[in-house]
Amino acid sequence: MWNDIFVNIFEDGFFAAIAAIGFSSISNTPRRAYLTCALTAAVGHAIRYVLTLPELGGVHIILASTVASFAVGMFAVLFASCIKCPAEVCFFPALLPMIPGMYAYRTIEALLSCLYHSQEEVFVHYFYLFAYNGITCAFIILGMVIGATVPVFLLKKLSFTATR
Amino acid sequence: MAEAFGVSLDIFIMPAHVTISVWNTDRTYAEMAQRKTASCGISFDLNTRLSQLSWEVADNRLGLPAAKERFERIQVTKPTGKWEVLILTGFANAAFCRLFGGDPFAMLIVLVSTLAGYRLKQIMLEDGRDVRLTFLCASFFSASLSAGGYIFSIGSTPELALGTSVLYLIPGVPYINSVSDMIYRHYLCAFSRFLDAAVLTACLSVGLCTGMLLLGLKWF
Amino acid sequence: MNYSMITWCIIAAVLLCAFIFRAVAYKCGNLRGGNCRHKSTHFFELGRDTDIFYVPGDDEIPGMPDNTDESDGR
Repeated sequence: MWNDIFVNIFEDGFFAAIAAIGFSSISNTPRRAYLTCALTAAVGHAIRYVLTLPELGGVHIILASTVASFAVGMFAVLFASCIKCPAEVCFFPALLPMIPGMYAYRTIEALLSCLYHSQEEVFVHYFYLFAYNGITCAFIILGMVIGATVPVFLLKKLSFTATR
Repeated sequence: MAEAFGVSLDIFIMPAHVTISVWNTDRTYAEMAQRKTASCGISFDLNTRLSQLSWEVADNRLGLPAAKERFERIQVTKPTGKWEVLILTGFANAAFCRLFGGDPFAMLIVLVSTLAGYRLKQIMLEDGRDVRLTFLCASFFSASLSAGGYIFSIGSTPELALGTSVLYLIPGVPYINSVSDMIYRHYLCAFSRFLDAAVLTACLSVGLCTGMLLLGLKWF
Repeated sequence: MNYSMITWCIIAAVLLCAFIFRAVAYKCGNLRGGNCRHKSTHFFELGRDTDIFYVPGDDEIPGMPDNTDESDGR
């Protein structure tokens, strides 16, 4: 069973790394930052995966994202000066695979469904989905950004002189 | 950086404009300039280079003409090659589908629909079409193509293929930026960035829903 | 073949046509080189959101890319 879990964690990190490289290429990340971004994203996503596993406590996704982003921020700040990029260049792409995209568009989808169904019960159901997805999405992003920004201030000197 | 030039400055940032006032050190004379922000998309490469330039000015006391020359060279920095971005995005979205638990067939479907949708997005943006229209069309075609998994019943997780096929369009960086602006108390910027991102997400969602409606699939 | 299969095929075909049409147009544009300056006037056009602020006498013609960012703030 533990073997399985380790394989799953490794897989999760690996695919998160590919996703991070791809999504970061959309926003013109310098090529030398790809490897660091991938590594940081892998660590971050794997941590979130481990924390949300039901066998290991099953932490809520918002808290798990915050903790994972804190790790991402730490890694990014520590590695940023190695590749001579600002810390933001490392941790933005690494956060991208953790953006709750599914929640974001489901929010709008549920809103459209609200318009489509006029019966009260069905309407309330979709309105509940709208609110649930929207709030979850908003708080995940809020937690992620706070988690990732704290290390920048904790290691102020290191993070602001990364490109020096 | 301003100290290196012997002046002090103040920057006032609005969503679409930037105002900079430069004062001499005894605060008796000021120059102001207000510009529209350039619409060059998100580029971490530019960020890095500008940050390097600012340190060079601060540390090595690079003169104004030299700094200006460097700045002009930075302005013409080429973005990442479009085919490279296309391929990497395709694989990224396929990997993303795997993260949600999709099987290899779903990954393949997502790969194909992402390649098609992203290419469409590139073409429409090159032609100078409106971003919102572009997002709507790209998500419509991506979602419709990946709904093929449902229609021809390929693989065991067609619903994941459909759900993740449009995720490459989610404007992640504006969302992160908007929250970090909020943390720094630039509320106007935060709000405008958030609305920008939300409108794009809404367009994406409308495209997805239109696709599903046309194909007669049930939502969710 | 049921309804949704036909719709799917139509959508896929439309997208494919768009790509092919674009590629052909691109190639033709390259072949013709610089002598296709004249722009046909369309009855329907896709305007941009800033066009609504157009005032007669503006340099910028609606729908054309604006290069007016260079103006100095002084």
